[in-house]
Amino acid sequence: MFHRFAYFIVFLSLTVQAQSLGGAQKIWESSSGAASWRGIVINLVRAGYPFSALPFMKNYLIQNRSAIDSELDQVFEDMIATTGIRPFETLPDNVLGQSRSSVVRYILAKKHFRKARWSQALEEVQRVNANHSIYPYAVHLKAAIHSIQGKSQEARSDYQDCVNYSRSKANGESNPTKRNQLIANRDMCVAGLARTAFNVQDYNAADLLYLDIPKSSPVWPTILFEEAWNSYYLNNYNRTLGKLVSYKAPVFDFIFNPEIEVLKALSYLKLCLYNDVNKTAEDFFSQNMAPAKSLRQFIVSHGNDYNYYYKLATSYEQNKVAKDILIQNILQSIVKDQAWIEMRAAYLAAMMEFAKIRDSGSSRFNIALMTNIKEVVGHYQILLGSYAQSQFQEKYNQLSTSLQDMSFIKLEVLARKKQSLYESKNLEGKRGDVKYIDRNQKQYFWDFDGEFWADELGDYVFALGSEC
Amino acid sequence: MLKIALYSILMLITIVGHSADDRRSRIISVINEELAEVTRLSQQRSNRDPELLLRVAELHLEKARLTREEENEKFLEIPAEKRRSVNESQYYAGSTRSFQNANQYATAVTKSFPSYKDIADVYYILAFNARELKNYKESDKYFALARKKAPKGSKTEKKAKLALADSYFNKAQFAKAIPLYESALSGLSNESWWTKDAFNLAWSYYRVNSHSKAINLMHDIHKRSNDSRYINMKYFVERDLVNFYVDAKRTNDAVAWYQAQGIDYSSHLVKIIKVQIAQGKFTQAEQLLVEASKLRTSQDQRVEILFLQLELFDKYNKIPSHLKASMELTEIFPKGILNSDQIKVLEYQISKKAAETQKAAASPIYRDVKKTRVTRTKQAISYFGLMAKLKPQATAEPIFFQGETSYSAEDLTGSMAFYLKAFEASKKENNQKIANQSMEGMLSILGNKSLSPAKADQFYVPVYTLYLKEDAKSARAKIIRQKLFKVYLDRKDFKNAEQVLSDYASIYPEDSKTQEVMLAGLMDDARNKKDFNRFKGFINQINEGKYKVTPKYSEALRQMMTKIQIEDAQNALDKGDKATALKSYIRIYENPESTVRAKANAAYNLAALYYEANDLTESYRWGESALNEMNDAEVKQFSTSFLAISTNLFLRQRFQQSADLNTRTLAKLCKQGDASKVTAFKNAGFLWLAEGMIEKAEEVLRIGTKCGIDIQALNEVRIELAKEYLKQSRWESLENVLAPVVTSKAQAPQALVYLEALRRSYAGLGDSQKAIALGSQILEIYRSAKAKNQDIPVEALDIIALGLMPKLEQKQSQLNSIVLNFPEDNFNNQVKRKLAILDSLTADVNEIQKTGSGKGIVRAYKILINSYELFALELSRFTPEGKSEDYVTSFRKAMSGVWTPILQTALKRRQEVKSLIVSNNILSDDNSEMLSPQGAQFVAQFRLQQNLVLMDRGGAQ
Repeated sequence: MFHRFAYFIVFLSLTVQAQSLGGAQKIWESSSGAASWRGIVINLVRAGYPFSALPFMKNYLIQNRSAIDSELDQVFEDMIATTGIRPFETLPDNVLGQSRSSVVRYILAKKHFRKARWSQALEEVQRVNANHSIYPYAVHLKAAIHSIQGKSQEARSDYQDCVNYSRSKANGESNPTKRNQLIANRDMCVAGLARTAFNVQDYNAADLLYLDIPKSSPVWPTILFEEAWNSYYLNNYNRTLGKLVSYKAPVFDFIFNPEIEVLKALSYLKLCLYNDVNKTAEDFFSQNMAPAKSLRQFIVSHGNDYNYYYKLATSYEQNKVAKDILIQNILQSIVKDQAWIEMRAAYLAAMMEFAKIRDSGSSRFNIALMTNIKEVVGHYQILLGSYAQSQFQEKYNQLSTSLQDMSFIKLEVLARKKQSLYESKNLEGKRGDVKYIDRNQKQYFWDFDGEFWADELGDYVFALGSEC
Repeated sequence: MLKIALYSILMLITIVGHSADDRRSRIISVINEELAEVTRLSQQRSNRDPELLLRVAELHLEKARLTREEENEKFLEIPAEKRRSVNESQYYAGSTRSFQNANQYATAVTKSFPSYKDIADVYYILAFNARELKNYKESDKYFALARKKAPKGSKTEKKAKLALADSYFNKAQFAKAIPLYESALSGLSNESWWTKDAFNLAWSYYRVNSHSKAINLMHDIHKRSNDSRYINMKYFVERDLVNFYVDAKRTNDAVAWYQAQGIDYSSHLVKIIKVQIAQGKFTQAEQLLVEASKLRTSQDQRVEILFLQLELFDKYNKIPSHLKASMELTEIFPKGILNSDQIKVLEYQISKKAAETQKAAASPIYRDVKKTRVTRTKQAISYFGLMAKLKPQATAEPIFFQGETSYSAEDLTGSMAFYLKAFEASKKENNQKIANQSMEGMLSILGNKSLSPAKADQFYVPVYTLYLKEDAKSARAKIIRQKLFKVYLDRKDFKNAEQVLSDYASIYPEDSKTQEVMLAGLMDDARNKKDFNRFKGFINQINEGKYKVTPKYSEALRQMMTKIQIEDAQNALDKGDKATALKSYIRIYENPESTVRAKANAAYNLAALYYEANDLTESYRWGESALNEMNDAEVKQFSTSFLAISTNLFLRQRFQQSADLNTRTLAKLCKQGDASKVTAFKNAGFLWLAEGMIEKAEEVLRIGTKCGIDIQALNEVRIELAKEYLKQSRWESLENVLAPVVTSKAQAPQALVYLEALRRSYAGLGDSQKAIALGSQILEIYRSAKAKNQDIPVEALDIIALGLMPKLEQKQSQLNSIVLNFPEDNFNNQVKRKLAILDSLTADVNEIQKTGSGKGIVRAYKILINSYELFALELSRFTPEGKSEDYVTSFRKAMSGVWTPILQTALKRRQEVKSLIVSNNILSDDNSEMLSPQGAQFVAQFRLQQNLVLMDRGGAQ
């Protein structure tokens, strides 16, 4: 498989209700144990202190084996809308497994999913209540699992459910954060539909489905690359090249995807434009060969030093300075990544919460809460560092693979060139004309004048004739 | 991952064609890029991907093959001679390196990845590689491994089997090849190359005498070859099947099969013939050819037969028949019937036979077999003639070879004709190489001693002229021009010879030596023909600078001109016709055109002729002229003649003329080392003195001094001059002229007389100091001469001796001055003293006697004798006064015993001097007194006689 799919972490958004810090303090001072933690969590979350409540909630989940009541369940949902579910994924499987809460089920399913335990993930996700607000995300996860398992039909059905539920929930959602999360989830599921069609080689269907994702969607820049591949499989190489050229737009400067160049070279190869292939390959080699080696050394030298990566990424966020252009590109892609943004937002929120508590006095309760937040903040730092490190690793792998792919493409060109020499043929030819442009009903055609207009991105089409 | 299909190494395409080199190098360039890319890729995967390593091996192998092709071509381009001595491995270094690289990678895969799924392919590569490197044993080993490791029924297994089968086939192990072919082909019947491999199988059957199987398989191959999916082997099947049928003794089946295929039977009859020829069955082939020839009527068929004949007769080496067929085909050639291949074959056959027969003609084997040699020569020439006809646009080369053949067969005349023709053709065809070679051939013939002079003479001019048109100025052209000149000269074609000289002089103006030689030839002719105008013309051209000659040569020419001028006179002289000779010499002398030398020669000869004719006036006149005209060397040459003429003049008392000729001769011989010079000098000096012409003599002495006349001769003339100076009392001149003589150890005594005269002159003039000095000088010269026993003139001796006389006279007067008287003691002392003086006088006389001067000796004796006698007389007459008589008597008696021996001694001396005078013929004024019995009383008297004649040195009165 050449193409890859990015899996988006789905976040739930919860409505925060007003509650008092004092209430929580009273409960904390008056009693202890699981019973008190419930009240403390509810009070703190509703008072706008979800990070302060997080350790209490985790303790509660560990200690409490019974089902979470609806009030706490709602609060829990609100909490993870801010904190995300990652802090809870560190809880042992048996702890999460004993809960009957849909949210906890989803967390556990996600944990299994991350560890490629597809059937267990599917089992857990199927236990999420369809009426629960987390269901659109759960069904998305289910669709992904089916897709991975090659169950295209089920996957398509799940994705369609996801689209429907997400759209429906979004329409009724007043909280903008949650609504945006639902819309994004919907778009991802539309993409899922397209990908499923792609998987069963129904490229025409996939082509149309991809077009249903609005350009305003945060997932669209990534999906554009998949669309390019789809066009490639439709033998519409001019459109593939057109879609890929969109990545040259400054607005996409955060996209780090070496495969863009590989696909570009491959498209030229299909058009038998060997000089273009060679140029693309040589440019790619000259730009990336040496930096890739440096990057490898960089990654090896820093190992699992998450703290280093955390500092590296956050420093970059502030200063926009990196060791070299490749590391800069990767850092740019990390800090513009949705997952990073959300984790970083959570971390900042935690820091703000800490400041708020610190400023409200120095009671024992406040000190306990600050200790809690510190623990959360530390955890987030590790998460962010770990994420950045994994991104570096992944980007290096992409780059390494792309370099190899590019070599194969170059070898193919050389093989053809040699073959033609053996057969005394001429490989050279003329380039381009509009007549080669192929459009479907959802696409428009503009002459490309070298500037990128937001509404045109993704719609560029090349006009190159095949030299084959 | 993107997967690129690996390039199959079995796709063996040989790069041929015009742009093969370029294309090959471009492919190699692509392969190099591929290698770089795959190597990079493999390194990215830490060289752990066997597929990539295999790919690298394949690429190296592919590169090795292409490089090997290129190397092969380059290697074959090396001339065969040189190729044998070159290091072959050097030429194949590139491909060998690539093969080794391929091996290295493939071996690495077999070692590191023994379980690699495509390991059989790797072994297959190793096998092919080994085969390329001619390591057939290893190749077979790897093919066997490939076969073993390959999945059963896989393509690799089949291909390995086929490769092994090919290997056995090539090793003629057909029994082993057959099962492998059969097995491999059974599963690959749809492969396009099935026909090709099956063809080998068919041949294998044939080789193991399974003729039916072989023929059947050939039928199958032929059939499948009609299908475009298969490699078309029809041609080969149709070509070889005949063999199979023939060997299977199924010729009828062959004919039937060929007919069934719609193939012309007769054409295959020809094929059978071809097969038979190939198998060496020449007799059968020839018979079949006869048969085939009968069937054929069209020209095409005739042509084919003729070509077969060519092939057959070539193998048979039946040259006459081959030549006949070649001639027939060459006649057909202009009709345009022959296709390009046939033309090539014909050209090949003719050129091959031409070379073979030419080689045979020149071979030492036939050196003594003249008949065969002539035959081969004619055949070679015929073949080369055919070659010329086949390539009418390039006839020069074959004609040249005709010339070469004739030359090697020593037919020089024939060879020359061919070379000339080849040269002409080469100019038309613009083939400079052959033009040069033909010219070389022609020159070589001209230089061949076997070529008769008459024939050579016939070719010289045309060949040399042609050569000079090609090459006007080279070193060789220079020699050719010289040769050409000689040819013209030998032919007495002086006009052309002169033209050659003219060209030569303009091209090589500095080569005076050759120009001189050429001029000599031409001028000799002019001289012989007495064409003096032409001769003079050459000289004028030389003077004008047209021809350049050395000064020496120029001088020789002048001499020759002189010689020409005096030749007639000389001839007349030789014949004894002196009158004609005289006239001729006078004419030459008076001719303003005559050279100086001629004039001098004429003058000399006139002098000589007049000398012989005893005409003193004319001989002197012409002698004088000759001495004026001649140079020093010439005078030296004829110096004896001039001396003879002058001597004759002297003898005839023409002293002045004689002296003049001698003086002139001396002047001319001044710087010459010639004995006559001294004679001329002395003659001139003496003769001028005899004539009393002191100035002339002085002039001669001056010339003689300047001209290196030896000192002795000079002094002789000086002494003669001294006489004249003495005679004229020219004391200063005398002193000057004597000065060199006095310093001569040998001749100084000759000057004594003149020195004495000079001394007297100084003494007379009162210059006693000078006179004393001269006296001392005279004595010194005398003593020196005496000590050396040199001749001293008598006059000089007399002078010396007389010079000693005053001393004697002084002693005599001392003796006489002692008067005897008594007393007795006094008397005794006085006697004693007188006796002592007499002893001293005696000693002085002895000394004078030693001078050898007659006059001196007689005078000295005279004094001595007189002294003795006077003393004796005085003693006898002495009477002591105042003494008694007895005393007196006793005294007288006693004195008688004293004076008697004294008187006897005087008498004895007188006898001695008489004897000396007589024995030495001494003429002295004192002779009369010494010889006369009267002694001192005799006085001689001088009487003048009237008829006496007095002459000076010259005989003049």
